[in-house]
Amino acid sequence: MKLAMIIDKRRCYGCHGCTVACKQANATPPGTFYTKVVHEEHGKFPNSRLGFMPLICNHCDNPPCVEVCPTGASKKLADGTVQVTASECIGCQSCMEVCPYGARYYNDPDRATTYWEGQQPNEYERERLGEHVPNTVDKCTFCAPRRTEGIPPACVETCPAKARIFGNIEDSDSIVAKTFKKYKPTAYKQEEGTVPSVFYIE
Amino acid sequence: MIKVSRRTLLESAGILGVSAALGNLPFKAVAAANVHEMRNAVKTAATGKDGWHVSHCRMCMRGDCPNMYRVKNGVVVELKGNPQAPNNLGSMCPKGQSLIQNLYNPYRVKRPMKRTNPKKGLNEDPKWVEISWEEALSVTSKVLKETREKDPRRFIFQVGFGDMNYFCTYLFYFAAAYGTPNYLKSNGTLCTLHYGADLVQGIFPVTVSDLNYAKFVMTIGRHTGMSVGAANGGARGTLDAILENGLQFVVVDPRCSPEASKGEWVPIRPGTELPFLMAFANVILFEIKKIDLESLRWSTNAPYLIGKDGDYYRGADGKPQIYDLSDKKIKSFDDKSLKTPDIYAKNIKVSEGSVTAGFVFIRESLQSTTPEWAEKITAISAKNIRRLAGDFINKASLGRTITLKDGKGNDKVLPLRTSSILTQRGAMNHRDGVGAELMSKVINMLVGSLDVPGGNVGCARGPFLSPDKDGVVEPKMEAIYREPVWPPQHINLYEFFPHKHTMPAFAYKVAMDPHKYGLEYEIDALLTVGGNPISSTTEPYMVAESISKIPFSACLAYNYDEMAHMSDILLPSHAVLEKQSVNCYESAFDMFTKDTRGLKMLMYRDPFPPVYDSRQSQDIIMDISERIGIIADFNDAMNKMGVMIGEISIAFLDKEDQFSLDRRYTVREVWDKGVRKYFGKQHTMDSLNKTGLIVEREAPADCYNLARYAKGETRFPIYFARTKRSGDGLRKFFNTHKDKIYIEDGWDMEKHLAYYEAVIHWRGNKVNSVKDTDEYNLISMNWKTTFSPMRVGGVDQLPYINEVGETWDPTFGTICLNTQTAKERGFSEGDMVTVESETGKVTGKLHITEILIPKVVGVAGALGRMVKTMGPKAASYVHYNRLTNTKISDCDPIALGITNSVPVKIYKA
Repeated sequence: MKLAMIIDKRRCYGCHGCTVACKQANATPPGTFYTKVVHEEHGKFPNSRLGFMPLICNHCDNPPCVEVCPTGASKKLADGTVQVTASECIGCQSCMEVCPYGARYYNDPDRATTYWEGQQPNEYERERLGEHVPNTVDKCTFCAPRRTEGIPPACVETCPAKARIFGNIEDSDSIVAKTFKKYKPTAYKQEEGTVPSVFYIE
Repeated sequence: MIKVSRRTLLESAGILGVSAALGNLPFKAVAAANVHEMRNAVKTAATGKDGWHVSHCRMCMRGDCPNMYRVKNGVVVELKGNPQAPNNLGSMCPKGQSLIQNLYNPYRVKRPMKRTNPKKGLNEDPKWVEISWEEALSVTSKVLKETREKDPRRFIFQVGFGDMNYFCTYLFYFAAAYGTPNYLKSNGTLCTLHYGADLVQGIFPVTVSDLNYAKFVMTIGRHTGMSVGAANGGARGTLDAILENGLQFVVVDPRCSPEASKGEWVPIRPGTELPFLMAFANVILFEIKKIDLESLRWSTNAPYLIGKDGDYYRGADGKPQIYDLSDKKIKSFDDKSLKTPDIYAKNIKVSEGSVTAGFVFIRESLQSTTPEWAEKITAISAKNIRRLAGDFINKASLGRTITLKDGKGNDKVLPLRTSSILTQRGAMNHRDGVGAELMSKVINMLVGSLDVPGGNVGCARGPFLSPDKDGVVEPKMEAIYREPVWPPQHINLYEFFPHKHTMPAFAYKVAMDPHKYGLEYEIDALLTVGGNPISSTTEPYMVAESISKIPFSACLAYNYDEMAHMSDILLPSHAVLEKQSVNCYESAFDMFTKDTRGLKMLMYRDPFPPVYDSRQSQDIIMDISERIGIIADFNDAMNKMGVMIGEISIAFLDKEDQFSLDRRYTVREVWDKGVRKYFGKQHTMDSLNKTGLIVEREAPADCYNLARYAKGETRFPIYFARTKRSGDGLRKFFNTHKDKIYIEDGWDMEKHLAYYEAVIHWRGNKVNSVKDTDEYNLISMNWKTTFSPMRVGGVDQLPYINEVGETWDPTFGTICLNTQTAKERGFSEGDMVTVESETGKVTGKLHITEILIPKVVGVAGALGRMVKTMGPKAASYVHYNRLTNTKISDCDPIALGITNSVPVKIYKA
């Protein structure tokens, strides 16, 4: 089994529904973006256009973050995802340095506990901010908590363009496998040798 | 029978920890199956209890994305799109995904407040003190009652998109019950786009392209949802059409928007859309020479003969006349013997002299508007104009038909026209905006693509093309001309601008000195619900000054915005998720797609218990009505005007179900009556609480309104006789009262009325004639963005939105300039610059870009505030509206849209 995501860049129009859905679903603190969309400009006027590059943890098959982790907190699971066990993480941030995708974020103990500058955490933040343990490193889990409830990752479900396709790529009947076969999407920075589970249709 | 558990279903779909792929598929059939499984996966909880609850969004003016929220330990902890919804298919945009911050926003107005500093101003501290609801309501009601007894016209009821949760229902009723003509909408100042749609197609609010069959769509100064990050299906459908159906999607805009990046971008100088379209029509008429002659003969007034007065030449029966080529006789438009209406009839002799078909005048007016002429004005090359016009004609499917089923199951043969042009805000908020809109309609009519499959279609469900006595489409709203009266009754001088959409800033200019404008009264009181004419329209300092002089002002306030800041009493209103709401979606306002064509959908929101001491705004208004003593008038207005359950959905109650005049109803009771009448008695508010949705579909053939009428039974106006008549009526009125009428210094009646013409002409103006040697030698422009397309929901103060915008979008909160223009002026990325117009100036950080046409200064989004009481961020962004103005001599003289691109200069701050 290998969970994978295909992102159809032809469809993404940079709305950031995914970016905010991820923040909301995972209650991530300020400055943390498990997923995001980089705005690009291609070409020179008048032959110019906007481009959008959605980024997310690539859940690599050859993850440098797992290799470098001194405690084994970062691990590759049988479902193909890369996960961090917070209780085993010592916050050394080595994994952040080696990740070519900038997908990992450090929960600084001194970080803001509310999004509202100069205010106390609101009701939602009080209820959920504890999900991010201080002095540990966080990243996209392919929305593991949602998947256990039978709900797809927040970025996949919320995408107004339906640009994200997610599933078991080893199941030939799955949509993600069929899409892979049809479009032959490519991985980002594959020259790094990371063997990503995230692919892009250009 | 095999029993399939929910878990089995989910496992087979590969969701439980394995291959989840719900609702994200390019393959529609599979996506639908997965949506079905999601439907089984969601159970709703009782109101206020832990679990999922149905809802719908209101973080932009459409509010048509059904969603759900989850409560845990009494706190809203999670959101998701409603997977059952056929339009958004369970998706949500970033604004919708910020609803929890809208709810738990510490800068909300949390309890009723009273101002203790009598001095009002943007820089004055109101010195708020908490008061009880009883005091807030009694003080407000007392003043409004006294004002009404004195003269109801002395009261302004100011509304806006911010609190139109079941759209304008209670707003209309309250204004009607109170008796004030001064019901002002701050929404729409930058979207005066309804006149052309109403005049030509009898539809409100807009027309859209039918992507089900389209092969060529040219969209000018508008978006399909991508630019605003909309999740409601238009953007998704546009992508489907481009990627799967090979749609040629052309975006004419000074800026390369996300839409333009998915299709073909044609950069154009701001405010020059009309000459581009005139050249486009010139190429079709004089070079390509391919048009839909049958459609022009039978579905437009092109063959109507025009007399010397510029209006229809009428026969003895009073009906417009047509020259029949088959027997060379002049006949009434509805003469049964009419065989070949002649659109080229010229100088036909009649007893009064000679008459000519309207189409001849249109053709003659376009003879000199060549691509070479337009290139100099628009910056679009003549070659490109010719190529686009050629593509438009080649892809129009001239002569083709399509067979579709109607509501009775019968096959109907309809014309299939697969090329269309649409214009909106970016083309219309100019001096000649209505002209540009009408010229786009002319081009669509040349190929017969109005209200047929594949073409430019009315956005709502029909029937709406009913003919007037002249056999031409009858307008229903803003294109209706009403005779002006003296003295003017409305503070916005509506009498002088009978086709205006909205112009609140001008109303506040008049309010500072009403007698100068001929009004017989002054303004004593203001009540605001969801509107903000200070930050969201134009000339914000002038509007704020005017409001500061109104003796009493109260505001149903979600946050401490500019309108709250200027108030005497604040009546805290709910955040979005706290509002019980119904809202009926009736077809897409952006694009007809296979998911949204003919869709009628009622959305319901199960309200979350209020976090603070706020109340539902409808209840506040009804309480005030009761205290003023006008609840009977309020109920009477609901009976007469219908229960409004959506922007274009009104339920007229049966007599036996009408409201008693002596009772104070709850808003739930009001909606319950409306929903049962509109959707059938099986639907109640309680049943809606479980599903959140009622979904109905219109048969395919019925979605195209021309199919509802026999040949020649209703005709689109291509010769705009009604527009000319409006001008004639106004000229007579202005001349009659010329010694008394004041509009503004230097206002020229003839220049103003010249735009009221049956055949569109181009004229130079301040924006389309800017030269390098002018003091203000650049042109400003503003566009909607995914983060803050408008200020609904207080999106510009929500940290998720601000953080994501600041981090990932370089145009967020900045001032944009083309690379070449920046180089010529010696600017570098990140410079602090000031942009100054004749009216005002703004300062911000410069962003240099290749996606903006040279010599244009761009400012993105509805951002920028004038008070710091909404958190530190909101006031820090560039506030575009300070650059524009209310000058009538700069506005579109018909729809009265402000000119939203103005000449500016830029320098280092």
